[in-house]
Amino acid sequence: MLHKQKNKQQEEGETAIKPDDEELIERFQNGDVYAFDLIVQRYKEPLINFIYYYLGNRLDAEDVVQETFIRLYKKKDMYRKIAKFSTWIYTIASNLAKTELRKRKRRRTLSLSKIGYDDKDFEIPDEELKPDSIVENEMKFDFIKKEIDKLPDRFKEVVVLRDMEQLSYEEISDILHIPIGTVKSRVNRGRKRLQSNLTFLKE
Amino acid sequence: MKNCRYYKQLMYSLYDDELGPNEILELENHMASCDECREFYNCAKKMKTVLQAMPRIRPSENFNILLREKLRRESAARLHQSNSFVRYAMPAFGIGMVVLAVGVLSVKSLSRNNAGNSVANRTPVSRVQYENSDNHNVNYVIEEYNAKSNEEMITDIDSHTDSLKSLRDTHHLKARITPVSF
Repeated sequence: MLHKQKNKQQEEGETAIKPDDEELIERFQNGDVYAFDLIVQRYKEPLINFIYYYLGNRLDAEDVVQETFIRLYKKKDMYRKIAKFSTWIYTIASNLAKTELRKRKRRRTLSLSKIGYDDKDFEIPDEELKPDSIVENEMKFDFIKKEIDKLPDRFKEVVVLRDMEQLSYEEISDILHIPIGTVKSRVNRGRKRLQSNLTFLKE
Repeated sequence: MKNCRYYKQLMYSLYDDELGPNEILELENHMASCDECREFYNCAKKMKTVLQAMPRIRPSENFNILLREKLRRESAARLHQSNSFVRYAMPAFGIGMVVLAVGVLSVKSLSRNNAGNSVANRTPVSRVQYENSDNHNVNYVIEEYNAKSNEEMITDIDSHTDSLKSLRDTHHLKARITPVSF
């Protein structure tokens, strides 16, 4: 009971001050497990979206993101303030997702083109985004998702990070450990390929 | 000469809001006269909207519960590992230390015995090998001798060697006097 009250007080404090990521990880490194919960709360959704569109499967995305948080829990002391925390956690998630892709390729049992049909519990898009009439249809979302799945991995990850997760080129460069020029080039090539495959855009 | 390919690259920079006013003007002028680029730009703009409007995935309701369960299992596994270490590695380490201690003690007592022997002027032996004129090896063994120190021993060997040299001269042995061991 006391613990719950303490948590509630802390939550109220969080909403008022909202500590930044680096402060949270520092608190966690000093033994504050509640800071870990806040990190999970803050990052689980963006990470799941990134991994979901990268791997194409919701269950795998959740597994990878949970594994990301387990790594963070176990290796919290490996984080140094020289890097942005968001970059660090995206790097862990991205590496785990790549490992998952490699496993899949070895297994050769799961076709990337066939996954994702059962993932229907989408959040309804925010009205403020004003999607035009074309993309309001769920079938179109499925079609776009399949086209994203078809992109080569190196293009897909940067397109998802840039155009869907809205990360800057610099952040993507830090996450993937590749030069900004390479990120830009891959993003544009990925966009071009996706654009030519999304034929309905020309209607 | 700037071609459509160049302008398509510019379009993606516009897409990222990275173009300056002059470049935007240049692009607009080009698109006014190029249907293909205008269509490409319209598609790129639509794609940007479409991608930003893609449905967001919500984590499942039991995400946190599953995560906690995995963390609990992880901690239990680590605890088990450390227990195994205590159970097996510690006794092994203890046995290893005992063996090491016994080894060290044996070596020490052996070296003490050796030191005692030298004090008692035990007899080192030197063998000297000659080669005679028929290319036959002849081994001369310097007889047992007593020496109180290394210096004395060396002098002693030298004196033997000298006598062997004279022996060599007498018996026309080829000059090769090599102490083999001590």
